[in-house]
Amino acid sequence: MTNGILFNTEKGSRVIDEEFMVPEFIGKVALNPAPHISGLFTSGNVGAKPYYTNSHQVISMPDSGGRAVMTFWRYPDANGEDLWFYPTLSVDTPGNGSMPGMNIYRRSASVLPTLPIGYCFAIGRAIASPNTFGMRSWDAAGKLIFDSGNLSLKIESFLSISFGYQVSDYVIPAVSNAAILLPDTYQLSDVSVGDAPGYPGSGNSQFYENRGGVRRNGATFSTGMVNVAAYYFKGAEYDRDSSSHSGNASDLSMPIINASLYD
Amino acid sequence: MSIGITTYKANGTPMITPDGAGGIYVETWRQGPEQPAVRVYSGLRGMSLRVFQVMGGVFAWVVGQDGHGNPTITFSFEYKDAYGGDLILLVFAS
Repeated sequence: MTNGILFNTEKGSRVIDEEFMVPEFIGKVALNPAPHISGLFTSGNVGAKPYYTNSHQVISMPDSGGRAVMTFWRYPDANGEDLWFYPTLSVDTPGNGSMPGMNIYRRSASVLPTLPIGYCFAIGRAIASPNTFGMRSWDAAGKLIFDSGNLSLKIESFLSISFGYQVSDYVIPAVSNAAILLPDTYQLSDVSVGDAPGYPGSGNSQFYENRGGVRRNGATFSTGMVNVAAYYFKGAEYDRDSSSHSGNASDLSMPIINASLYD
Repeated sequence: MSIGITTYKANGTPMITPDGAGGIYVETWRQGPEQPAVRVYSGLRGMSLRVFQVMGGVFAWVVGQDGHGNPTITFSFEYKDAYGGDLILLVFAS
């Protein structure tokens, strides 16, 4: 640390400086109720009723001042419906040019009456609040690191996810208005070598597409990989045991916030 | 809580608390080939790292501790697919 705030706590020291900054809440985002892709991924789920996809994009993002943004999603109550949510671009870097969104998988093809709401937090330097009281800190270049007048990220707990065919066992009671930061991860799995249905003699291999999603079912969240599609490729272009997602397949954590703090 | 810094919303709700109950955001880390294989987080003794993977690169990682009890992330090369590139993590602790 060169310039910042160092303070002691019951568990050790904490620092807020130019390296360890506090994410700032910059606003809520809504999804466009008209899906830009609807009904994709309905084929190939052999032996299982397929999930339909409605893919919604964020209407507009709040101004982050050029900072990266992570979006926590608050999910509507699913009323017991088997419903999976898969956000895209959970962490949006400056200049990416893509709009975050949400794929919603459900047995019914129709659009959900109530859509998830995003809570956006900027990662990086602080932008001054209008407050004339409180605490601020600057780095050696005179740039603002921290402003107590902004709403900071406050984490309530963590969920975990791992890759694989099975739904994760991590199920927690949903705190009131819980919002979760879920990774936009997926996995392609080689499940068979043989002809695709309807294409005898093709010699294609079948691959399942699994996406890491969150399920809202009554009062609980659960996370896991949901099988949303099947593809057929000529030849074994993917290894049977390898994931299309590199990096780790376990020890992944997703923070949860209480969204009502920011309403 | 007895020591440290607390910030509040206008309605009196605490936002930042010194014990970091629930967990804290630590940093965004981009691991490339030029970085050391072990990243040490001093000042977080007694806490566990919680890692959110933004982008999977050619690295796998594992959380642990160094000899002083500081949480660490150890990176290793893992050539798995065509995406390659750097690994981007959001590092939290609780």
